[in-house]
Amino acid sequence: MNTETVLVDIIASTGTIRERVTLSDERRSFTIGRSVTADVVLDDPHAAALHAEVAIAADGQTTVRDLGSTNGVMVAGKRHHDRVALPAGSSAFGIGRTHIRVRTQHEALLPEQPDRHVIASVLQHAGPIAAGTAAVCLAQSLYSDWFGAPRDLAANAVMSIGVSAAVAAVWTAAWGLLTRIMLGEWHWLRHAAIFLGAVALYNGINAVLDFATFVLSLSPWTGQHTWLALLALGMGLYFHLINASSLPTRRAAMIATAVFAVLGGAGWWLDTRDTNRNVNLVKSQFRIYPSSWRLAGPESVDSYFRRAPALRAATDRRRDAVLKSDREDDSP
Amino acid sequence: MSVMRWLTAAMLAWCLSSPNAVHAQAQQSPTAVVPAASENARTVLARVQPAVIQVKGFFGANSAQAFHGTGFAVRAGGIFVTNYHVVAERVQYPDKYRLEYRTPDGATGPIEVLAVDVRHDLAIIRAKGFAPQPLVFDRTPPPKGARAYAVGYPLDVGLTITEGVSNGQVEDSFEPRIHYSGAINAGMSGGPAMNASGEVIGANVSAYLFQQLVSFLVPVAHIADLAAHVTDAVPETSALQQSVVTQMRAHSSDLLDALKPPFVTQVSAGYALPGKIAPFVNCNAAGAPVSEDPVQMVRISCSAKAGIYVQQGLSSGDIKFEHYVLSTDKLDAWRFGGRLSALSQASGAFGQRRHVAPFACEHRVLALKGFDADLMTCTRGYRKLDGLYDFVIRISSLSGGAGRGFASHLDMYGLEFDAGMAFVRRYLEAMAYLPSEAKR
Repeated sequence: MNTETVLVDIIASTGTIRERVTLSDERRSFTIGRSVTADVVLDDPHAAALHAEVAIAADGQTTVRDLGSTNGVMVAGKRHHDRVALPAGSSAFGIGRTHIRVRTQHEALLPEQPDRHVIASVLQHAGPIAAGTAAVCLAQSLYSDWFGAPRDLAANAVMSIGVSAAVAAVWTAAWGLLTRIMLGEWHWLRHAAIFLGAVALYNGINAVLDFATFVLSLSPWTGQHTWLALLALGMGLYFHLINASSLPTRRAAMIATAVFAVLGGAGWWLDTRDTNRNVNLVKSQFRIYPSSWRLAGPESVDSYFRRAPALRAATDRRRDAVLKSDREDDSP
Repeated sequence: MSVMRWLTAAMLAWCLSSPNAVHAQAQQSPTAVVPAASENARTVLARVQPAVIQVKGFFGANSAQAFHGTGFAVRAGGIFVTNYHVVAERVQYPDKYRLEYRTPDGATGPIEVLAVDVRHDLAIIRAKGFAPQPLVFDRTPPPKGARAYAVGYPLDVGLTITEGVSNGQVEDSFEPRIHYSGAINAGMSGGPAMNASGEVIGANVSAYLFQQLVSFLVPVAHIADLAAHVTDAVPETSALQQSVVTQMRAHSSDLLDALKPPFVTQVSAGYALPGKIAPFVNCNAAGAPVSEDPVQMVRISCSAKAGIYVQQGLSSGDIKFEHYVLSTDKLDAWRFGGRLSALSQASGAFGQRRHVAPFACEHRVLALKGFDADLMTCTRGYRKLDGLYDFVIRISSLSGGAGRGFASHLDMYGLEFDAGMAFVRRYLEAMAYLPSEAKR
């Protein structure tokens, strides 16, 4: 930046810079208002034709003088109808409903922030990542088809890949469009990488958990698929948001967490309700692998049936809960 | 006697009277002689008609009936018998349903339920203000081929007699039934079935829908026993309901007593699995003789067919099991396991929320004879039938030998918990892997 230059940023209510005006500092002052005769022209109906004059002293001290407007000048939360010097370290003030920031060579800049956004940085290489995750998803899809040993593997594979590709394309296009609107860029490779990465992660963790459940002879976790899907959705949403908008990462994380919590909570509530109301629901999703992979040994028949009373107690608790619910429903 | 039964019966009747049927009749030779109605049927009907009533059920204060059946006099003083399933809703929901009778002459009056026998689907009722002469019983089991008649009010079209043949007691049936080759339709339930002399040999109880005149009667001996033990006092409804529970538990106990080991097993792909474990258990096995699928499957289905009608939408006291035996020479163990997983899921448990509570489940891996198996055990209790439970058991394994695996589905309804689990144990202990039989 030329040291003889002054920047005037007109800032939208969202915090983004709507317009930036570059002025030569030869005059060391300029006017702001709706009139075309003003040096900085605003489209704010709450501003006067010539609303205020800004003067910049040699030491960088900025002074704003109200030129007889109705609404005055807002500085540090107070309305002024006369001349006011901006507080030290501040260069912002308000006219009408517009925020204005004046930047000179005397502006105190914050130190450079270290970039801890590693994954976002990684997404600078979105092309190779999208290609890699697409290859992983393709492999998972082909493996899934092959695993099911259908009679016509080729037809099944083409169908499942086609459907998956269509879903990925629609999802990516939607986020690309949003990014185009918000930031003026498509970033479709980034969004494709995010979507495909989330899907690959979901499939991979599911497979690992299924296998671990079998190997360790554990009871199946009935909510596995649902919670993993929500986790993938939450993570994906976070990365989509920070790449599709200028949202701060903290706010994007809060939105993604909120979506995860709301959907998870609603899903948990519906699932609990269904579990308690659907008398035919039997949750028994478990995969069977070659038994030579089992690490935990089987239980003896004697041992299993010694614990039968525990199952009876659990069954009776469920019945008692239903009967209690009935009594509550019947009560006036 | 549910609405669904009515609808099904109505559909059947519509099919039989469809334009095609009429057309087929019109194409008969004009010289064909339609045999006249049996003179004996007229005689039998005239003899029993005064002692037969239509039993009608009403929901709340509605004057339009909710269901109906038939009854006949078995004792003096207005004591009649009908099927339990005709009066079941009244027994279970006495404040929702009421019963009335209607005589062939059009006289009507209220009905009281005096006793029930759910195991034989019988109920003793009293028709207030109507006390005809009871019908005469013939306790001698009717021989196969003997002429027989069934009387009732099918589909509410009026008192009807159908002519058929008794085929003796049903072979290998857990509860005794007489096989009657004659028409019994919805609404005839509880009506009398007679021999050629007009003596009662049983009560109409059921028929296979969409089959050819395969109908069933409750033998008269059970009617006589129940009628002999009934008192004139009208029991409290709660006592009748408790009687249903007690009888269901007795049925459960008798059923499991009849299924004591040693179990007959059937060997398939090296696995010995429970088969026809009692004379009354029917099994069939099927597979695809020619298949392009890399996995060959044999499905073995067995059923005790011991289910008892308890109330609308609830039959209980039954056991059935199915084995899906898989073998392959083409798939590796991973993919074979994937195929087996799809058959190991528990589904097909049907029940209504007003009858049963939700399931509680647990999953374990057990060491059985020669192989390990995944075992999923799910049980649920009944709301009103205290002490009775449904069991959904899934057993699956591919640890016997390479390319050999099975999934076994055991479903049991309305059994006591400990006795039911004891049966599950016997069922599991009857299973074995026999390497020498693996290639068969």
